[in-house]
Amino acid sequence: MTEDEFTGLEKRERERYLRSVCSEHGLRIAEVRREDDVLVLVPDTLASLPPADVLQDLSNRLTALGYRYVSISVDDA
Amino acid sequence: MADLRPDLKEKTTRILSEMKEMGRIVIGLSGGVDSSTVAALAHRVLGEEALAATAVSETLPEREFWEAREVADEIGIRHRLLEFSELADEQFRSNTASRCYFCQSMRFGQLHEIAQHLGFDVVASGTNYSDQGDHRPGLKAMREQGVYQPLLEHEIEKDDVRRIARWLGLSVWDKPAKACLSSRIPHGLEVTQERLRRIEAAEEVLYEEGFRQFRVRDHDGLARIEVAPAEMSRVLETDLLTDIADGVREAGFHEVTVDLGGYRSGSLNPTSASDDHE
Repeated sequence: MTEDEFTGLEKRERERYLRSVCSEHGLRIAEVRREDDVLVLVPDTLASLPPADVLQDLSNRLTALGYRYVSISVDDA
Repeated sequence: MADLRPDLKEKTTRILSEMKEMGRIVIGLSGGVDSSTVAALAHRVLGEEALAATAVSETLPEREFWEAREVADEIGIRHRLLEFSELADEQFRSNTASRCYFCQSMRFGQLHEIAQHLGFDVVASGTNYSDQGDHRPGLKAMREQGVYQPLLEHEIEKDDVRRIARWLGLSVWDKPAKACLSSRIPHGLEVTQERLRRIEAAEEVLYEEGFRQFRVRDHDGLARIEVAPAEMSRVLETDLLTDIADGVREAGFHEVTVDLGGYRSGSLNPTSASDDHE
């Protein structure tokens, strides 16, 4: 999906798409939200995060959709 | 001692000759590899006629203050501290994309005053050739003030500065690049004492855990931790991550996140060329 196609989605569809991309990368998320330029992914648990290179790839996928910073929350998991 | 590549040896020799011609030089010393290299070269050729000066302000972490003192001792160069307040300047505090311009104008303006007062002829910095590729409005301020930048003028890139530093026997030759604490605050958010101190305290947590290359970016109380790709696997270890998060919250952040893209130099720089003071 291109950035233009993604931004054309409704908010709920965007969130569903983000969840599916995270899931493809082995990251199950409880919540996703945006804090200014930062996309915050809240994982279900910190105990079984995917390897760093997979998360880097996830970051690349999501920044290509227009998010400047892609991060995981350490607080809410 | 490792030998130096012939082209670097030639450039280094030319810098030493230039310095000798210049007479008396004050070098702005941060304690990083670039300014330490310039200070060591100046000391080598000028001895007591070279002086290192470290700007001590709100944006300098205490750890780096001590590191600057240590490297000055190691080089054997005379060392002075220059205390000033960046936060006293509203243009700096307002944190536009030109923030570094105002800071470096102040910093090198004061260095020039000290130089004049002490009878020094030239003020030098450790700016290197690789610095040009980044968003560096501070370079404009240095050009305006006629600062001598030997590593830039002789087209010496960062990796080659490290080679020269190693050849000189400096312990900081492989020290990770540092930047002032205000670089962790996105443009548009005011630079305040509270934000600077919580960034410093949060980064101290990562230092204490043994990380080498990282930043804690402050998105108005949301900490976004960037660590170098080589250290990402370690920061994601559950127990360690939990300890880091506790420490960063204690430093004053209301939420702690880890950037999945890892550390990028200048990641908060403007994305639009129109924002750039240069």
